[in-house]
Amino acid sequence: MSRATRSLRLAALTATLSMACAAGSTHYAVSAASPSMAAPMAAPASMSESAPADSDGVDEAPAMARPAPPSAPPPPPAAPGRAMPAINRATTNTGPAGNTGNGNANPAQPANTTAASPAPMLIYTADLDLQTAREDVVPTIDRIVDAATELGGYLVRRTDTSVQVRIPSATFRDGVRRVETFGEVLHRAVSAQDVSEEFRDLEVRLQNLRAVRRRLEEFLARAGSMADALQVERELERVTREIDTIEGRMRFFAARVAFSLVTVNVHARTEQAVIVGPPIPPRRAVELPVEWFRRLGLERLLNTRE
Amino acid sequence: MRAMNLRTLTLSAVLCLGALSQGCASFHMNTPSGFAELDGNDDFDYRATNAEGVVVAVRSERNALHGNLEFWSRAIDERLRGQGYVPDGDARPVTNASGLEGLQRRYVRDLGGRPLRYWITVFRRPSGFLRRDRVFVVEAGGDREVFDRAMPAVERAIAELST
Repeated sequence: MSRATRSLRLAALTATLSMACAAGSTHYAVSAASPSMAAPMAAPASMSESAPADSDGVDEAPAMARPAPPSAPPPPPAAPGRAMPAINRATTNTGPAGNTGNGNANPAQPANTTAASPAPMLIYTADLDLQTAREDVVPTIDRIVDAATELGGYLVRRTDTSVQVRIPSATFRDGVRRVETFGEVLHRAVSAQDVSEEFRDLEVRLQNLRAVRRRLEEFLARAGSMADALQVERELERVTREIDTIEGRMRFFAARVAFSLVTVNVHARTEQAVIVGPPIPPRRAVELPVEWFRRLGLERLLNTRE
Repeated sequence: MRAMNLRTLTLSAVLCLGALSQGCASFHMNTPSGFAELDGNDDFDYRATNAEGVVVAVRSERNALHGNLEFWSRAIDERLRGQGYVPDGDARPVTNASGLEGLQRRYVRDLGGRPLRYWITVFRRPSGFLRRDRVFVVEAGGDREVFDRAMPAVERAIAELST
């Protein structure tokens, strides 16, 4: 094969791969189902080793804030009977919450596995407004932080009158109930955000990009010239950056799913206002159908002119 | 002559029954010492005043509602309180010269900046042979200072009321 022909094929291949990476097309998902993709599928083991650091930088999870291990799937509060297999799925295959590490990921059916496990991947959040005595506001916030820590959670943010904590999703319901006992609940809002679809898309894109990277690496090994090698190298860098981004995004989702956010605003009970209204009118006088009854009193008695 | 006598007898009997019936509504009140009886007022069946303006009056009314003594005493009390009379103690049981039991309530009230006393005593006489159910209401009132001086005479007059 002439050098010109090889360059031409290389350019065509990189262009095709770039398009596929950008689109995350199913064409390459199917390609990834080949046995040669088994290794890339098992690759995200490193993701399970990383902390579920929040990518928004708002809260930094301490060591205890690691995503739940695969053996302890957190049940969603709204549907206690349904565990969070999304975490399991991510864990078993490519999920950031952990990896079995035994290489038993089934790369032959990445998409099918996803479709076969309908359990949603849910991010739970709770917003509570509590009312306590004025002197109990700060102690109540302390108790909320303590409760979150006891449940394996951690403090996210705190002010004089509010607190945000993350607690393991497995204990979300118990945690919210416990917090509700710390004061009079004025308002309660619990929501669940389903990120299953987005997570699945990220999985597919990750698989495709790893397939592309593998091919690029193979092609780099066969590069005949320095120019070809540099061109493949640049493409390899771009694909690797994209893989890192997707992995980070998946870690973010895993952390959010594993730890539910509970926001509590603590309101001081206002002093009972004394309502000053119009004076209560005198009690209605009894009326009887008796004439003399209406003529009783000093006015008539003392009117001696008549 | 006999027919005339019979007619006279019948008329006498009717008049007698009527008198008896009316007589049952009557009462006798001894005018207290230092008091003079006032006439010519439709509101009262008896009324007397002393020279300082303390007045005692009696009403003899048919008990159309057939309320008992407690009913009338409470109803009058409610009405007077609603008009601004301030109770001066609880209801007091009293007995008149006929042995009829009654309830007396005492009040104070300011009229035109003057403190006044007002007593109202209710006797109820249930219906009986040729008697209707009746209520006797004795009112007494006047400026507090002069009333307090006339109080013994007023109390005695109420106690001597015969119904």
